[in-house]
Amino acid sequence: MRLYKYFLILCLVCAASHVQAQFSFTFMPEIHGRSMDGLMMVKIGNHTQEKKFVQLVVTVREAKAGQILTVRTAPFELYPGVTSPLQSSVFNSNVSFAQNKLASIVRQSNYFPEGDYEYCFALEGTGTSGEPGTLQEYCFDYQLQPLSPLMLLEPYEDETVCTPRPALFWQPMMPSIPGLQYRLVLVEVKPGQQKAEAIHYNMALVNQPNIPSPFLFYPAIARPLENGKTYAWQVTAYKNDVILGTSEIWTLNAQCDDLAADQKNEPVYNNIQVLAQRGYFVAHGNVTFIMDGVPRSENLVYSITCLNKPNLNMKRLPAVPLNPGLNLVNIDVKDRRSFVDGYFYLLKVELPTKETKEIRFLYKSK
Amino acid sequence: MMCGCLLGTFLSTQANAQHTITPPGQMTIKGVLRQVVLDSIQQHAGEKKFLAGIKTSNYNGSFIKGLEDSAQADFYRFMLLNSVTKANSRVPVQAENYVDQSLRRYYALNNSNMPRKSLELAPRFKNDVHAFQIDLATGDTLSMNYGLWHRVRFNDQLTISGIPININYANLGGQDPYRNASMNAGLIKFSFDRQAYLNNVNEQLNHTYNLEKYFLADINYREALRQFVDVRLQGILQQPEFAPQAKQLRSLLTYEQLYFLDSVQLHHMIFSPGLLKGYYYDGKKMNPDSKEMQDDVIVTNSNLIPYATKERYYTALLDLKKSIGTSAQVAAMLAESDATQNYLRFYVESDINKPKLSRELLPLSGVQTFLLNVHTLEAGNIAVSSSAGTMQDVFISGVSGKYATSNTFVHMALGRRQDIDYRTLGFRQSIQPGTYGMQFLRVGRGTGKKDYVSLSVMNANSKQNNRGEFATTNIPQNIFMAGAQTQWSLGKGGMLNAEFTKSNSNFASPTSSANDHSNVTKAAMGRFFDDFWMTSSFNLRYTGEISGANIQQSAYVGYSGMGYNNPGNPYARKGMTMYGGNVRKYFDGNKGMVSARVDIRNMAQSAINSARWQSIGVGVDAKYKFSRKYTLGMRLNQTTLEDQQPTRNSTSFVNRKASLTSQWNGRLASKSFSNFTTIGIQRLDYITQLHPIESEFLQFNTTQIFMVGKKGNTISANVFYNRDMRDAAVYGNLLTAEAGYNYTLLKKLFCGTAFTYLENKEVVKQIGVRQHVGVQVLKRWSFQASVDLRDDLENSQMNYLYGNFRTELSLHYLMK
Repeated sequence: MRLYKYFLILCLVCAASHVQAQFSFTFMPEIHGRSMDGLMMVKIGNHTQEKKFVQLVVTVREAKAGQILTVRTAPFELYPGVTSPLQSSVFNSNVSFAQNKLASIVRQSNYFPEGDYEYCFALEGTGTSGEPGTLQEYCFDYQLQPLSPLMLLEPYEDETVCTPRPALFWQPMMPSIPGLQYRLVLVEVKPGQQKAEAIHYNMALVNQPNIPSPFLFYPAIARPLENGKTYAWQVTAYKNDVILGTSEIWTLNAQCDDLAADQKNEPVYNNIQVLAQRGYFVAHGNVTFIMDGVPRSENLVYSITCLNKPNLNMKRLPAVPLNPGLNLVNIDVKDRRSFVDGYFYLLKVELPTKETKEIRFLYKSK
Repeated sequence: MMCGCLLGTFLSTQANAQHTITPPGQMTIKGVLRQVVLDSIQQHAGEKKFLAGIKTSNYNGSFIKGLEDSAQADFYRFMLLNSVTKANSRVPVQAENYVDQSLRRYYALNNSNMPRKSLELAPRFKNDVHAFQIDLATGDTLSMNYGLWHRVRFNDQLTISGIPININYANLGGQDPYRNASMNAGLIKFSFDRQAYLNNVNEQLNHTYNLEKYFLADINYREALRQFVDVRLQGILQQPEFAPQAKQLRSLLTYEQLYFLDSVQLHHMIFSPGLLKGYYYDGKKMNPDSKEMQDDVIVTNSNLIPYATKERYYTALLDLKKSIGTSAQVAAMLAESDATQNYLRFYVESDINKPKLSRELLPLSGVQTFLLNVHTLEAGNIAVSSSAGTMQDVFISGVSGKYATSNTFVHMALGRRQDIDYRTLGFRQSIQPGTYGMQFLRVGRGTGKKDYVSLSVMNANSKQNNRGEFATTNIPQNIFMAGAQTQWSLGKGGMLNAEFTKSNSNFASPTSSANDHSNVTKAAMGRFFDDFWMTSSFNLRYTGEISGANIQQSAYVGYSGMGYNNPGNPYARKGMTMYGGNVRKYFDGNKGMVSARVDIRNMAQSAINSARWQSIGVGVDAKYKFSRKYTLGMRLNQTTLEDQQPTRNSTSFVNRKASLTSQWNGRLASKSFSNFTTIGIQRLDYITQLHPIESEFLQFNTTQIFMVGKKGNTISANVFYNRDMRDAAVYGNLLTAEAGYNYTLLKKLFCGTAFTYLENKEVVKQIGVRQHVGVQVLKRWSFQASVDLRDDLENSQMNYLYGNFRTELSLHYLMK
């Protein structure tokens, strides 16, 4: 904690803050100099004891391209102390751009591309409450390199994970800015909900700021991911109280083979006579049926052929021992290559009466 | 199939009626079907009391006169109550078609005495509370629900005139004393529930109509045709000129001969001299209602019938034949009747056809009819996604809707982008633009599932963000966007999506009135083609599969200029070229899967040189299910980020990872268990302002669950261990362990107790307990509470991530 405090003080000292007798500008070009809207985050100090009616004029120049733009805010009252320009006066600004490629990019995108910039701030009195003309002007120089995009890495977009506490990774924002940190938000996405909606409507399972590195091991104290649910996650990069960028929103699905569900999915047994009369059944995982009236211990006499691909090799089917009386027959075929989900098969089975029945079945792997 | 079927002559709907039913006097096979319907109505009307006071109408459908007064009156009443004015305005042929359709509707009514109101969609007004939920959470982990947080959720469905509207309300808020931040967001969303609406319509259709009857699928066509012909033959033979030879004349032809022989063949049959093997005709069985009417083979002498009589009889038969249609028509009808009836059943049951059927059969209001094709209609605080180049994953306060017919669609949205939520908590500003007021329209031909082409426009004006402590100061800006999107189906080869969009931004200039923002909008539209490539974006994506080889593949390429600005997609990139793809192969009956992926993204840094950020991601995944019990997986991936300057390249970030995962479901000592284990090694290097961080992680994560007893009780254990071999990353050395028991008490009380241990090297060491309780009360109430308490064995000032407690409470009332 103490380390961060020192770090913050260092940043503030480094942030070019120009103080003269009456007015000052506080501006961090590595943060605020990246976008048009960032320019308006400049802090203006009025060290006089009276309010002034002023206009803020911001001029940006690039070493090679020359003048880029000038923003002139609407007049506003500057009270004693340190303030930002009023929202309304900024919103009624006039902006003029130079005729060069760099200026076009800034006009179109809002952001400053790579360049050696000079940001000049001037306070001009409007004359209605005192002297007209420039009251104060100061320029800040900065060699700007645009930030790389903040992109999520892992778990992949819409990936299914089995672990209830996955590790989350993203590609950091570069170049590195002192004090840059990340916030990760992870929320559940309810059925039918869009992920952007989930981020706004649902309470976050993880809402973790202060992350210094481009990863987060799922917090042990947070509620773990629940099997069968979908989650959305997003990372925001920031410095102090200023957002620098956000990643896209990705989803991940928590899904493991459910052990309890596996236990609950007890096979369903129908009498082979009923199945034979019906002529058709669906086999989920294994081929199951009841065979009653077996006279003696013997192996089930049966064969299976694939109707979709008759040439499919169906040999070496498991031997199924039968006991005298009633038998719950479970032919374990689940993991056999020749049994394909959605294919039709023909079961030829010899009943205790020595009568052979042919029953068609649809195979479902689950 | 339906089109090729002659049943269409009578099954015609409003859309195609005028093309299929011929004017009176030239009746074809539809006359047979129409007569069956009239007979049925007549028979049914005889069982009802006469409804007096109903005026008849002036329809040209003279065949209706065949009905008795009471049946006619009922039918006209039905027509008058169901948009009769539409029919009056039609030309005679259309009016007859309308009467035909009305006749079918009337015939298909489950209860022909039904008042009109009972045909209308129900209910007029209904309110169902679906769910009510309160969540509370508190903890002392810095900023992660630090302080007290709540969410109140309320889900309701309001039905007005059969139109269901879902209402979702959520209030999300709390205070974070650490950051001195608070939030209290009330969000509400109204959404038209299309599926529930179609279910309503379907229910009403099935309640009021027998759809099989509407499509005349209940009629035995062969028998109907025979009866139709028999009645008319009887009429012919009872004429004085034929009556003396009725028996001989009738025996000249069988039904099938009358149906299928052409005029020349019929002539030959009737005028052939000599003995003929024909059908015996019994005058006593001339009553068409008689079920005993039958044909017996007899031998008759054709020469006994006078030639003139034969000639007139032949002429009368040709007229009769005209009324039942050509031989080909009859043959086709009989041959296809079974197949058509099967198709109709499918047609009736399919959701796709419900809107069309509903329009034909139910007295829907304009709004109700319109909503049949509305796919989404939402208002309030909503998310909108249309396409990556237009609006995607954007959250707005406004309204959005999508209307689609079978071949066209319109998507519109109107509102203000809303980016303030959890994620902005504790922040005060953003260098990203504040927010926008947006208007969006996309119009297309085709359907999203197949080929389509669409055009889109969007206009956005920047707005101030000002909520709580988060406030942005934005310069007024207008962005106008236009684009085109298309999707081509490549058949079995897959699908190709392409999208081109272009933006143009404008700020208030010194020459324009600062207060007149409409000038800025006009400027953005007027100068739309400025800086063309700099402000354009293009995306091409291919997805497909080779089904025979069990291979799925996708590839994409995209470009966006440095000046591209899309306020409809908060995550759209500027100055980026990207390309990549992945291929996935399943093998061994889907037991095995191997996939590979490549993603390359170049983001331009400079407008004047080639400086760029280059991110390259590659990965290979493989998974094999050895048995139902055991699955093994492997992953290799790498992502690098390079700072590529004209004179030098440097690597800013490397993430390289290899991992193995296994999932094992088995039994041990007659207890089922499940184990999931991951072991991996990872290299993670990145540049920081102070020094480069180079970490080598060794990761191990295992979860073991044992089933105990039959109540679903489980014993579980989880260990996560990440060791940074270079001790470089803060929080990089982490061990968490947890062992717990999940159990059921008193049938409705579900509990979980776990002991926890956490050690982050040189940061914190904790031991703790977690307790979870869930209870189901009175079927619809459920209550859940969990508390995680941890005691610090060691702690440090570096600890920003690990708190000592977290508590969550949830009360949930579920109506449905």
